[in-house]
Amino acid sequence: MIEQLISAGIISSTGYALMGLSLGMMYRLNHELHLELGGMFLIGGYTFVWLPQATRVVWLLSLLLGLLAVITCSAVLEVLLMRPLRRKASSEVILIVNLGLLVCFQSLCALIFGPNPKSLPWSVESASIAGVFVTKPQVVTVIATVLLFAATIWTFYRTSFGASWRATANDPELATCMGIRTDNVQMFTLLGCSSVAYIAGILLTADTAIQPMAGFSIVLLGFIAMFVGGVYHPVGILLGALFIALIQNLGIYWISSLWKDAIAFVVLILFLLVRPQGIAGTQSHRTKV
Amino acid sequence: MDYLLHILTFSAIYMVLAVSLDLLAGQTGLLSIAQSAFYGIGAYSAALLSTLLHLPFLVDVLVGMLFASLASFAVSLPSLRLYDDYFVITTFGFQMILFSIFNNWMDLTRGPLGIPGIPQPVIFGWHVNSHVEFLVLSSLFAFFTYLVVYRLSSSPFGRVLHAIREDEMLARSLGKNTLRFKLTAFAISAALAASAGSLYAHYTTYIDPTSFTVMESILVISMVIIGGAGSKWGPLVGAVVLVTLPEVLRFIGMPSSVAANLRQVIYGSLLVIIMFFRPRGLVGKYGFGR
Repeated sequence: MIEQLISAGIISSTGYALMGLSLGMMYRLNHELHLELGGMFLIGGYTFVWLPQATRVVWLLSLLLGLLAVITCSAVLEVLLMRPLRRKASSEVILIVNLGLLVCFQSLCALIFGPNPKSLPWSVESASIAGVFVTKPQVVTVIATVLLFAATIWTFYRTSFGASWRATANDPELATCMGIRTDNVQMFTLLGCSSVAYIAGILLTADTAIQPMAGFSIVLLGFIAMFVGGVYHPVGILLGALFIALIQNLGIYWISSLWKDAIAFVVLILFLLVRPQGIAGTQSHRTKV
Repeated sequence: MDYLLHILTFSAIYMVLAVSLDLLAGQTGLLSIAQSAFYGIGAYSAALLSTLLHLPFLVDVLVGMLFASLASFAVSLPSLRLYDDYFVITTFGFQMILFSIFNNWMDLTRGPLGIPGIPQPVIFGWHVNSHVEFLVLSSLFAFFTYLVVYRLSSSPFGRVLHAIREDEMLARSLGKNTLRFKLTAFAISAALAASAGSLYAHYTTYIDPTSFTVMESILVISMVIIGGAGSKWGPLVGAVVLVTLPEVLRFIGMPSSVAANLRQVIYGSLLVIIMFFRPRGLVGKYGFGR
């Protein structure tokens, strides 16, 4: 029983980790909380459920089409909305704009697809690994998460783009003086983070279902993972996600599973009170007034 | 005519909510997405006290306000030490926790079944049972809330709140215990939101958790922001605009399922558009710290 709960925890943590990764990398760069990445998650989920049948296009191709849509959408948002806002607005304004965008995405999904959960009518194969039941999509999700995290760590910490990214994150003005095209760094980071959110949407929907409210919840849980883990490195985000998911799944062993969401928030609040820099963080000055 | 009265009554209830949030968001600069949770606490207190203990209207309003103020400390004490983004998300989290409580604690709130049969208010012998009388009652509440918040805002207490909004470090360096002021503002704002909740409960005579979701909180914050945070008329204008605008959809003949989601698309888009072009809102002066 406990092993099943632990495995459920590990599997849930993948969704939080991916969302936390996409939120965290953007946040690390420009201290903006890009809540509309929840919208990209929703696009991923609904593309998976709807696009292949609706357009009769080969499955993989339609997923790629969805990715193209997400990238285009993010690029348009960045150029039309984010860049002008960054020049003239405070971070609260940007937060509200991102919130408004998330509400738009979520309501459009509810409008087009209805408020009820949608999933693909396929039968999910499950297998037993070391006495624990897992499904095929879950295994794919775990592997994909590990690969995406590895790719992210490599990109942001081992390439020259990553160096530009870290420079821009530390001091945008100085980075511009050094000849780094900070606008391009912002753009590519947003595109990358949107893609990660999109892939997360596909993976999670493959296993269960997608519904409009999932936009809000996954963004919130991704944020909690990011915060609890300590936002400054992908490994921290992964640790945070694992921590939250494991506590949630072990917690419902004793408390009714209705309180699963509340458990995550209680953990967040405990961390806020006791260790605001997160599990892996070292600086606490940024979080406290 | 009844329909018009209904719209006006709802506008008044939302004016109470918007003005209460303005104390926090507009005057003190604390962008809280937990207002609907306090709204819910007021509504559920009123519902439970009047259906189970048969307490009169004014008593259950006051008790609801007390509960909400106490609950506000659970929200404010952890989150007030944090920077903007983290603060906002923490209030978001509290909203979700309280919604979880409303929806899952079946023994207390009957969960998704809701609480029916809430009696109509009786205030010192005045039986409020017609639409017109309810509009009068709601307007009284709105007026009272407006009075409280804007008297506070032009008082020394309010000046400290504005100072906190503009530059908290500076206020602290001048010796003001900003934490105490923020806690107080939070408690007052929560109490006022709860009074709106009690009013709502007695008006609709049936409440369930779906009226107190995070979308409701976002609606209230939209009213404050779109109307103009920190100004006297802003939240009032915002409340009226955001209550009446979706009703226009009804007249275009949209089916109600489409209308509900289209309404939310409109709220989201309005937030984005107003923040992009006019961050201080329609009639506001303070543009969220530009």
